[in-house]
Amino acid sequence: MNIYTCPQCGKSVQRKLKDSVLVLCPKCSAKVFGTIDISPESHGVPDDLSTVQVGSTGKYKEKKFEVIGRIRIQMIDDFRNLWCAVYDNDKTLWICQSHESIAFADDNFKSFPPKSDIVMRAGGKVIFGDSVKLKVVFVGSMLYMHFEGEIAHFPHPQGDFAFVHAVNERGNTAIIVTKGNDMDKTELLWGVTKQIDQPIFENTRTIDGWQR
Amino acid sequence: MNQWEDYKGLRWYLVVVFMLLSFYAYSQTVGWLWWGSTSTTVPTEQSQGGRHGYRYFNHK
Amino acid sequence: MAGSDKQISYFCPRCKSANVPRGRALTVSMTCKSCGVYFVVHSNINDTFKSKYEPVIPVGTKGIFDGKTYEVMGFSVKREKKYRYLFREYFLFSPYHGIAFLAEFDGHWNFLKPYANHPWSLAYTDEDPYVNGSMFQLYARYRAEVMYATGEYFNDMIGVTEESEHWEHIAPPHILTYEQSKTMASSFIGKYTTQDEIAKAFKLDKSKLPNKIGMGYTEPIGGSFTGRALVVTTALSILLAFILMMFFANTADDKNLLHMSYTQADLKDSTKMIQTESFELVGTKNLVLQIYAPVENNWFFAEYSMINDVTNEEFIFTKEVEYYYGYEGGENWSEGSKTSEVFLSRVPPGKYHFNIYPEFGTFSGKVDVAVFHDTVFYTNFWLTAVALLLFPLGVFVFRHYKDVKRWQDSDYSPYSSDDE
Repeated sequence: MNIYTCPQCGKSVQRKLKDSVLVLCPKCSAKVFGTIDISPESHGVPDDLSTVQVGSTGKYKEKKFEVIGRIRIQMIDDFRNLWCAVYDNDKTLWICQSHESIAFADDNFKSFPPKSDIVMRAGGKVIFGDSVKLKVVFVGSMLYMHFEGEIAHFPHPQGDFAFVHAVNERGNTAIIVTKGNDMDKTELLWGVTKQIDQPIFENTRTIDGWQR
Repeated sequence: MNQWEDYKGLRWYLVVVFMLLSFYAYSQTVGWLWWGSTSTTVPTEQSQGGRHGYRYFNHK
Repeated sequence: MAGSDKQISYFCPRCKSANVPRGRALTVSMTCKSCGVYFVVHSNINDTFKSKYEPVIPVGTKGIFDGKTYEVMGFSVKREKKYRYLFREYFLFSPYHGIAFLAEFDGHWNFLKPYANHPWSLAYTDEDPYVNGSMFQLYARYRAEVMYATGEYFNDMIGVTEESEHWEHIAPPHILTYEQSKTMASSFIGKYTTQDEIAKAFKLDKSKLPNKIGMGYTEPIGGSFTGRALVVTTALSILLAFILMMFFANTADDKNLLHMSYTQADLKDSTKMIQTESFELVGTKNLVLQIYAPVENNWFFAEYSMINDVTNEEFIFTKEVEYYYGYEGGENWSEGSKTSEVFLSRVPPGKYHFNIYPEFGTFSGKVDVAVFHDTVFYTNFWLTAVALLLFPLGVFVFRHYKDVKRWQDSDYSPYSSDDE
């Protein structure tokens, strides 16, 4: 059991993923475990009225998952919540949430494949090798990012990156994090898109002052 | 709009269709041609006097 | 924990008042509650408006759509750049159900929700999108500018609106929108919403809503059914009528009750008439009398009296046979026929005979008479089919007329060649 004690508040915190790179205290957002450093302002996530929370559960491909952490990326015009979940007992599941869609990726961020390319504008192409093509639906420069809970590997945790969201008609989603359009500093999360109005999560929170 | 709702919107037309088909079936059963049948006249009291209409003959 | 409970507030770049956004960290742009200036919270972008517009649904009002409660977060007035017409948008939000929009133009409303599966978002195509079993047709393509805004938004509403190109496709009562800028492509799917539904959703007095002008571009036409349902119903009804017709055609007795011939010489001297043999009619059915007279450029006329042997009840009718032909202007012509037919409807059962009172004129041939009972006839089927088609045809003509009106303000009207 990977149990850590928060150096700030003394809370006992369990690490649930074997390959996580950061664990923040759920009580005070202090770092209790980590192989990466993040800026002090990135500890803890501002309230964005999300009903999903650390501890929310659900099923993906008939297997259970539990949300254990989140990276909230604020861009000038939009945001993305990258929920990190433990899936099928010990695997990583990333859930990318926006106002318009939700995407699931039962994998980790990986290096951008060779012979691939991105046209960095909405409507631009993302090409992997000779055959796979996706259409860019969002490009944004990261403005702020915030972390909570336990996080698996994420490229550029210190920020200063561009976020690209691309999709295709087969329901595939590519979440791409890139720096200076340098393919060596570009990583990819490959998943599938789901409609946001499908019931997905359980153990969500009720928000004061808002009716259902 | 689901399919049932779609047909629910046609309920008055369906009622008219049912009535029309029932009337059609009745008419065929009794040999009632709605348009184009020969008009007939039944002799009246006046016509029996030979003043108006068709001639009247004693058939017996 | 889903975020810090620490209250977020943003200072107006103009009057420096503190503004606490209702949407918390989701809020990207808002108008100052003190001075009304629009500003983007993560940048120094700000804007003021020349005119002020009052929303009919105030910011903060809660409304229920499909059992889901949304709150009005923002209200904006936008102007289409080419034709310069104004339309109004209400930005709605619920933490449980996400974002939505209510768009109003000329008193017609559409309720819209995000739709990630727009075919244009997923692939490189400019074909009319086929979504949820409906083909959506392009109605408008435009750029817009923001004339006024109040409340808060989850993006830089003015920047996104003015930097994007907008496409609107319709499959009434549904609408599919797509907008694309350099940084984002987004899509919404929506449905025409009546004034009654708006008033009920927000508990508003309907009379306060803007008056409807003309035909709404997603407004449903004439009845809560689709053309497809009407076509299917009509086709099945005509098929049923056809099956009935086939049944009656196959079960008709078509019995030859009488066949006789006579000439002028056969007339009884005293009455100048022919009396036929009696025949029995079983059941109320039709009776057909076929007359053949070999007239050549001549006519033959007779009065017929069908008499019930028991009750003396009498049906009287006349029938003429005439046939003329000739050669004129290098062409043969003919008129009339040597045969004639009488159709008697609903003849009551009983024992009958005919008294025939012929007028031979100059004709002197042999006249054939045949009587048939319970014959096959198709006219009623065709009349039924026509009657069944009247309502659908009326609906399609009416819908076509209304549809032409719907498209009259569009640059992409499928009827544009008709109008020219």
